[in-house]
Amino acid sequence: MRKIFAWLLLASLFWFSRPLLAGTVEIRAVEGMKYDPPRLTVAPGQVVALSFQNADSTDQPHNLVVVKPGRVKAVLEAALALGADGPGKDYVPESGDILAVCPLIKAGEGTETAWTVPVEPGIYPYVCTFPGHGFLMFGALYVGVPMPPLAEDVNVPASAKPDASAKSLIAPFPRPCVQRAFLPGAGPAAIAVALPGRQNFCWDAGECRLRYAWTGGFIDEEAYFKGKGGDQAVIQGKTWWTAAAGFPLRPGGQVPKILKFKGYWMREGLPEFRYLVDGVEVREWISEGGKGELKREFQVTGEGPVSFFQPPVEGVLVSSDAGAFDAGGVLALTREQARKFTIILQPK
Amino acid sequence: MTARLLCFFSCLVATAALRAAGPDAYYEVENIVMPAGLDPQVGGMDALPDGRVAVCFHRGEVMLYAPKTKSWSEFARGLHEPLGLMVVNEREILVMQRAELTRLRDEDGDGKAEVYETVWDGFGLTGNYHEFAYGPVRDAAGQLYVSLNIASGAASIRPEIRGEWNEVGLPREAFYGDWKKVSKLAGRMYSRVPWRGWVMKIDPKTGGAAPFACGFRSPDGLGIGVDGEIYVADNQGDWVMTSMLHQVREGGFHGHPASLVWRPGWTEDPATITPERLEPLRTKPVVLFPHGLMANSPSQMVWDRSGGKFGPFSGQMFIGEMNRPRLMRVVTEKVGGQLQGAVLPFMDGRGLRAGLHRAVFSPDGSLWTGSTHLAWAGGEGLQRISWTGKTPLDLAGIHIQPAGFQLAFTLPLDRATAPAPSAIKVRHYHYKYHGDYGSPQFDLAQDAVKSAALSDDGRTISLDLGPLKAGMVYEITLPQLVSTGGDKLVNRLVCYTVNAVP
Repeated sequence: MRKIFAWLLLASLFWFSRPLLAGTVEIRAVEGMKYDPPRLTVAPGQVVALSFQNADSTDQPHNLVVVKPGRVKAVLEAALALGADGPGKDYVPESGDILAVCPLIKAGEGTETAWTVPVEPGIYPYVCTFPGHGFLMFGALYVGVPMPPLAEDVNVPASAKPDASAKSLIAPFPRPCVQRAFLPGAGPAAIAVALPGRQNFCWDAGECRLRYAWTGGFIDEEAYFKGKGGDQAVIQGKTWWTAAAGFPLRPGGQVPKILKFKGYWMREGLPEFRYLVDGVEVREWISEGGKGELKREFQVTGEGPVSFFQPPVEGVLVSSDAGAFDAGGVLALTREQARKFTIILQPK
Repeated sequence: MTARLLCFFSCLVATAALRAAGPDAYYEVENIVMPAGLDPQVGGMDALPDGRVAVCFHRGEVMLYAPKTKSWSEFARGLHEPLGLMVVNEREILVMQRAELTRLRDEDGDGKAEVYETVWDGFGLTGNYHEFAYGPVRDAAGQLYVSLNIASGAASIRPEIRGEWNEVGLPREAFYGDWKKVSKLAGRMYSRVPWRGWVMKIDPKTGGAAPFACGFRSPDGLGIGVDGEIYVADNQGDWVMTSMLHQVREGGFHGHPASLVWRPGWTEDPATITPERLEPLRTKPVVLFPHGLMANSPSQMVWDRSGGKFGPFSGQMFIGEMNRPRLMRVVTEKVGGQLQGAVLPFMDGRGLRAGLHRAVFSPDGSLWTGSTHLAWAGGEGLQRISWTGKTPLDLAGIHIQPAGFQLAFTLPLDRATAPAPSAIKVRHYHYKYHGDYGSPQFDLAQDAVKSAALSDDGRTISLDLGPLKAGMVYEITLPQLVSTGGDKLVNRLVCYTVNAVP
C-alpha cells in the first residue's frame, strides 16, 4: 500500500513538473465560470499552440487572455473601461500587459493561437475578460516555476481547489435541524430533518408524507451549494426504512384525493407538519425515542374513523399506542383514537 | 478558499475605489461584516420599519441585521434557495423558496420564527436547476406577485416531479432517455409544469393564485414602481435578445414562448415555434439593456422613495447587474401613451461589488445591496450606499425629441467647458427577436451630432441628431463634462430604447 502511494506521488510529481512536449496547451471553458484545467506547467521559450475550447453548457461566450504576472486586475479594469467599444473588441483592451489572446467564442466553438512562451520564469495568469467573468474565471500558467499544492495555490480560483478548506468556513448543519433540499427518493419539495440523536428523515411536502428514515450523519449538500442548483443532497447514513407507495392516512377508510401542505410549526425544536387530507387537518410531529425509535405523533381532526396503512417492512418493528396493525398493515382507529395517536418505527 | 476569493474581490474593489479619487464625495459605500459561519450569498432582502434589514441567504438562513449595533440575529433557517423576501412586520416575513411561498412568523416574540406556513405552493417543480422562484412584491391593494423561471435544456427533469405535466412538446418519457440526444427537442428552455415563465398574482389571505402574465425566461427582477405598475427584468438568452425591462399588465406575453403552453387551449410546441407567429402576441420591453455593455443579468429593481434622502434621483428606478460591479438607473417617459426610456450606470468603479442581486431602501434613505453568484459570475455580501449630501454631476433624465434627445443634468454645466457636438458620440442599433441565444447588434450606425445646445440655465443639452428611428437603441457617450462648481460628470454612458418617436 505504502509502495503504491509512493509510486503515485512520484508519478504525480513527474506529471505536474513535466514540460509540455507536444507543443499544444489545451484549455477549455466549462460551466460555472471555470477554466479546465485551472493551471498548467509550460516550458519557457518554446512556441506552443494555445488551443481554447468553449465547452460551457450554459451558453456563455468566453475568451482566454494570457497576461503578465500580477496584471490580471489591471487588464480586467481596462476591459471594463472599454465600455461601448467592448463588444466590437471581444472585450480585449489594448494593453502591454497582454501576451496572448484567444478571441471571444460562443459555446461549442474552438480556436487556436500560436504563442511564444516567455523565457522569464513566472506565473502567467489567463483570464476571461468578458464583463464580469474574470472575477471568477482565471487560471495560471507555470513557466519555469514549481507549482505549489493545489489547496495552497493563490493563483487559481476557489472553484478549482479541493472542497475541504471551504467547508471549514461554513458552519455544518446543527442537530437538530430542518433543511429544505433536493433529496434522493423524494419529490422536489422535500424536507430533510436531523433529530437530536442519530435519526434523520425525509418528509415530502409535495406528497405530505414521510418518505424514509436513516441513521447516522445528516446530508451533504455541498454539490448543490457550489453548483447551479440541480444537485441532490447525499444522505450521510444508512436508510433503514422507506415508505410504501401511496398515502398512508385514510379518513373514513378512503384513499384521499386532495392533499395540501400547510407548512410546519416548530415545537421543541422539531417541525410539526400540518396538512389537509381532503380538507381534514392532520398534524404530524416526529421525534426520536430513547431506543433510537422514530415516534410519529398524529393528530387528525374531522369526523369519523381513520385508517392508517403501513405494510410490514423487513427489519423494522411497527407499533402503535392506539391498537394493533392487522396482517395487511392496516391500523383501524376510532374517531377518539384518531384525535391523537403515535406510530413507532424501530429498526430491529 | 472563499476568503481568498473575497480577498481577490476586495482588492479589485479597493483599486477601483482608489481610482475614483479616494473616498467618494457623493456616495459612501459601507461593506457590512457578515455573520460567521454562513455562506454570504444574498437571495433576498427587505427593510424593517425600525431600520433593521432582513436578509435571506443561499443556504436557507433568514437573518436580521441591526445597523445601530452592527449585529446579526437569526430569524429562520433551513429554507430551499430563498430568492425573495418581503417584510410584513417585525414578527412576520414572507419568503419565496424553491418549493413554496412561505410565511415565517415569530409567535412568541423571541425574535425567531416558529411558524413556516405555506402561503402558496400551487406551481410545479421538476427538480431542474433553473426553476428558480422570485418575489413576492405587494401592490397597493395588498395582492402579492411572484415570478417563476422556466427550466433549462442544459438539464433534464427528476423521476419525481410536483405538478401536472403539460403534454405539449417532447413526451415526458423522452426526458429520461439520453438527454444529450433529445434535449434540443425539449427546447432550449422549457415550461412543462405549471406556471413556469409566469408572473402569478396571489391573495395572501386565501393563498388563491391567478396567472397574471407570461413569456418570461429568468425574471429575477420583480418590482412595483412609484407609478403602481409591475415591472420585470429578464435575462438575455433564447428569445431574449438582450436583457430587458418589461412593464407587466394582466394577460401580457413578454416574448419567451415556453410558458405559453399554460394558456388555456394552447397546442403549439414552443420548441418549434417561429418569431413570425409570436411577434403579434408579444408585448415589447420598455427598456433594453445592451448585452456586454450595460448588463448581462439585470436583477432586482427598487425605486428611490426617500424623498431626497438619497440624492437627486427621487422616484427613479435603480437596478442591479450580476456580472460586473455595477448598479444602474432607469429613467422612463411616455411617448404616444407607451412607456420607454433609458438605462445608465449609476455607480461604476466606486466601491460596489459585482453580483448585485438584491437591493432595498432603508427608512433612513440609504440603499442596501446584496450580492450573490451561485455558479455564475457575481459577488457576495452586503453593502450600504449612503448619500453624503453633495450632489453629483450626473444625468437627471433624458427626453426624446423627434430629432434628438434632451439631456437634463443634476447641476448646471460649466459653459466654458461645454462640449463641441463632435465630442459627443452617438450610435444606434437594434436586436433581433428570435429563438437563438441572444442577438448581435444589427444595422449598427454612428449618428453625427449636428448640434449640442446648452440651455440658458446650463442644465440641459439638446442633441440634434436628425430624425430618430423607432425600434433602435441609441447609445450616447458623453465627454468629460464639468459643473459650474467643478464637479466632474460621474457617468458618461446612456442607452435609450426608442419604441416610438414623438
